[in-house]
Amino acid sequence: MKKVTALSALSAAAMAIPTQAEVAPTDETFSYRYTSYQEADSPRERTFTAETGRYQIDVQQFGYRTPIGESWYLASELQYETMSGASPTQTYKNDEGQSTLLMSGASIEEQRVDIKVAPKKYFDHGTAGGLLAASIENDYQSLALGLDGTLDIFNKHTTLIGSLSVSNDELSPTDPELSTARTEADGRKKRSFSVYQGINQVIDKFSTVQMGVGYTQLTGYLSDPYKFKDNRPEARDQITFSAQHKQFANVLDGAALHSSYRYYYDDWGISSHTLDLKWAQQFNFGKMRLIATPLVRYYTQTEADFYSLQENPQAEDFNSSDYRLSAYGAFTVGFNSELKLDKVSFHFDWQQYISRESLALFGASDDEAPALVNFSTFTAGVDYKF
Amino acid sequence: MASPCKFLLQGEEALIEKACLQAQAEVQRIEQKFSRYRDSSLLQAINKNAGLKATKIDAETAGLLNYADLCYQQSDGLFDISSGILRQVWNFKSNTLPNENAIQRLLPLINWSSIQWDQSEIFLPKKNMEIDFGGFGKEYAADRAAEVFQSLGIQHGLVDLGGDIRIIGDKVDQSGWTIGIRDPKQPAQAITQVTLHQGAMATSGNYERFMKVGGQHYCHIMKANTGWPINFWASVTVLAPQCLVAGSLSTLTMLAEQEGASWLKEQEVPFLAIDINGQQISCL
Repeated sequence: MKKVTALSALSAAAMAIPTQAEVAPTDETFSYRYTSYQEADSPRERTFTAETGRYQIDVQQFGYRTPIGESWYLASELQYETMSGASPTQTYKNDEGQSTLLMSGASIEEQRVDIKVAPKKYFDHGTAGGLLAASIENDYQSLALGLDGTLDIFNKHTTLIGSLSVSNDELSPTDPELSTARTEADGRKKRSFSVYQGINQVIDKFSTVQMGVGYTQLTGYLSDPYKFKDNRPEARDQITFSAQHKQFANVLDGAALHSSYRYYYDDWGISSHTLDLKWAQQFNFGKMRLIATPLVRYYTQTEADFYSLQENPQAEDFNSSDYRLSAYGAFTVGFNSELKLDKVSFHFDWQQYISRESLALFGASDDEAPALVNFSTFTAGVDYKF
Repeated sequence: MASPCKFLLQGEEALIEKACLQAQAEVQRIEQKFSRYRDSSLLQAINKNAGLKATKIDAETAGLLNYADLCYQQSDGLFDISSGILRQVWNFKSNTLPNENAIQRLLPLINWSSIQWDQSEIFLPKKNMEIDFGGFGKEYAADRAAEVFQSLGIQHGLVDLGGDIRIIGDKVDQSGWTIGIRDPKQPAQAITQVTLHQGAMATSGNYERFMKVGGQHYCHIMKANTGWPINFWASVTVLAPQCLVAGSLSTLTMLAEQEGASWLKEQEVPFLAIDINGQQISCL
């Protein structure tokens, strides 16, 4: 008998036996979600126009997923949205140095239809997927194509993830004769190209970590034709670095802590940090299982180089008073729940989002941004497995 | 599997039912792929092509061959997956010993080191050569079944494939799973019990298949170099993180006979070895 430790040699060899191929899901499922998205009214004391009511969006989502043959899986989704309400058109500083908000006068009523089809092929050591998505509104059309893939290495403890997508959007603002911005935007295109590279690593039986870097390039008409004095560059490069950690814990009937951080940077001068924490707690009641997930998110960003609250900026200068380009911070608190029975599961989710200039961690400004929005969403849904 | 296959699980019933079906399917998959009794198995294809041509293999099979190779090296050739052919002359139901000439005729066909293989194919160079994974297939299946349960979120349970045990996770109350170790003299009874919270336990025993001829005990575990059964240990039980490893450590110890005790101690794993006189060496 050899004197080397057989235990370590055998254990290593045993670990090196590859597990079976990632198996294609075998469940055929139908899902339905209703989501109500409600923005809080804009502040009366800062709103110049009579209208203070903001967007209310109702979303109906139908999903169908099915295996095709042994190794293919197809996910499809149809979404129908109805929007109503007004949106901010400009924020400017008045003579007293106060920020004043202009809202679109007429309440907008709009519909949007989204269709998504995503086939995926499962191989012994990874997956390859595609995505075709189309979105139609009366003033906006979008078509997107994507490819994604995963590759398992080191006995499936490490997964390489990659994806690539392109989109081509076309603007056709309602009532183009109403403003020069709308006339100019009519028929203009907006294109995007995105690439993501990531790595997922199993740390031990109870935890995994994923890191990734993403790049997106936007070109074309990137201004908002419905806003006043909105003139943005026709290109935007965006980079993100992200890290996610998942830790399973033996608390009650099982729990998992998901934490993630994302850093974002673009060449418009905006950088942002996002921190997410989620605790998914499982409770078993006989044949029923409840997964309750409280979550909290913090977001902070700096303002774009051309963000300004000038009432009448030089026409040729880049300019925007869009609150989404200002320096601000935001908190989201939420609670997701899923009740699983044998073939049916029910979902109830709620989230409250609050954003403020003063919550910005970096580059906070004294200027008020009264258009910064607070909103809440409520989702109810059901999944059915055939 | 020829031996009883048992899952002990705690948790939500609906999830357990679903997981059991998948774990069972995984055990059956391994059996069908590597069974020497099924004509359609990959192993049969490899053996039928002996002396004729190479057979394509997948990564899982290559991983198992690599494991078998390591067992061969660690045992100085006493453990050889091409030794199953000895079944042709050793019939434990006949209660008669095989003819020594018949054994000698088979020995040239038992030679793992002559087998050519790599990650994508294997070639057995002589006609009538055979390989099988009987020496560790059951233990491997126990590990895989446990991993299926773990991947589906089952946290409390164990897989028991004919006495080869792999823990999925401790009991809900963390009191551990109590498992009996067979008494080799009276295999229906336990000689002692161990409590396992994690890992695996496997036993090799001379009582599984054997015959007594002229008062001498002849069991199914045979030395590849002589073609004759070992006759020193009655049973060796080993605890290790993986059932596959626990099983190989116990089988290799059985094969090493007297030297096995010191070799097993060097592995620093909990074990119980009982020799044919009933003498125990315990490190549990």
